[in-house]
Amino acid sequence: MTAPAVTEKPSKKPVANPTAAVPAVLFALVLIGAGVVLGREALLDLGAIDGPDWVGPAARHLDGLTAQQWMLPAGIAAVVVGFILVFVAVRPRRRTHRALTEQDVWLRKDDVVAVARAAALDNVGVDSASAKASNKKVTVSVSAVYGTDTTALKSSLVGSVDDALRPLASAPKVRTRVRTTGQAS
Amino acid sequence: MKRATASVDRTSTAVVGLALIALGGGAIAWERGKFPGRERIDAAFVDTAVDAGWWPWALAAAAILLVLLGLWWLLAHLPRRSIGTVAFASTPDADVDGRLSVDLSTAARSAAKSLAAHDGVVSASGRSVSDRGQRVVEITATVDPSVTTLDKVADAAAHTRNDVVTSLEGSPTAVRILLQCGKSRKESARVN
Repeated sequence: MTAPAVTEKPSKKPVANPTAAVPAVLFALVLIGAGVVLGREALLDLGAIDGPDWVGPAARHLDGLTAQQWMLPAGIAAVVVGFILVFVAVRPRRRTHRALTEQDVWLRKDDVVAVARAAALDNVGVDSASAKASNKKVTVSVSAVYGTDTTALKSSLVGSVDDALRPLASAPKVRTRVRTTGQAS
Repeated sequence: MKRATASVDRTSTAVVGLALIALGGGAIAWERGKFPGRERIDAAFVDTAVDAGWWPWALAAAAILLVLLGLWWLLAHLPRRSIGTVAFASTPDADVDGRLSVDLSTAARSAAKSLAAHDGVVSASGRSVSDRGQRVVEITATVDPSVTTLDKVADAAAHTRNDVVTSLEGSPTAVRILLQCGKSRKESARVN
């Protein structure tokens, strides 16, 4: 069943971009914005264009500055944002896929649910199904048509979902929830 | 994303974060009067600088630097990681010295095509990427949502993976096959 093993340097785990990429793009835009403002000021000072100075007066404002009341809330906000940024900077990349037993083959994380659901729907008597998955557990909730033997259905559900997800390197535990729908005849 | 970009992102985010903490903490302490004798900032040099003849030129230089830096940083985030060709046998013990090369994107695409021909696989696409310093042939295969077991698809993927590894033997390239499910029955039913 398993393909002949050809082992050569396994690829790295598929991961999402670091979260730090989001503030980084923001910083890049801020740099460009600041550059444009400085460039405008330079052209103003050189007499190339007309308009009010921004950078010069702002810099002069710094001389003789005293503590202001707004600095307390602003300081608190800055500290909070600072801690968030530091947290984002060291945050590990999110794993996007789960390993299969086959080397270098991965299943997208969210699709564990899709596979479990499809396997559940394949059982006789299942009307609709939904699934939830964590790293260690898959919960399948099905609604069965009226008159179905729920005990038998449960064990066949566990079997089929187990089979479907067997290729996962760390197979999750399967839990089932069965609800009967329909009218008594 | 290139490894260099990722570490620049992380480092700069951390530096900005720490700077904000220091600045914010300083502002709080200052407002609370924790810096006796330093109630006023003495920055008389700013006046001299702003009036100096070199001021506009310094501004212009800083402006060019900032814009270039910002653009470079922004462009580094474009999703363009394709790496094109690699030389075969670039290992030290090899006789061939990079004369033979392979276009990884083509290899990835053809492998994807053969994987897509398998039962249970709706479509597949291949590309070559540089991931954290590793050259990777990455094949993304969309699995038929009505497939009730991963076994066959995983098997086919493993075969494709081994084919690629065999055909690229001697080139420093890894292979990665990513499986994803197509739209579920319910969703596709809604479309119809």
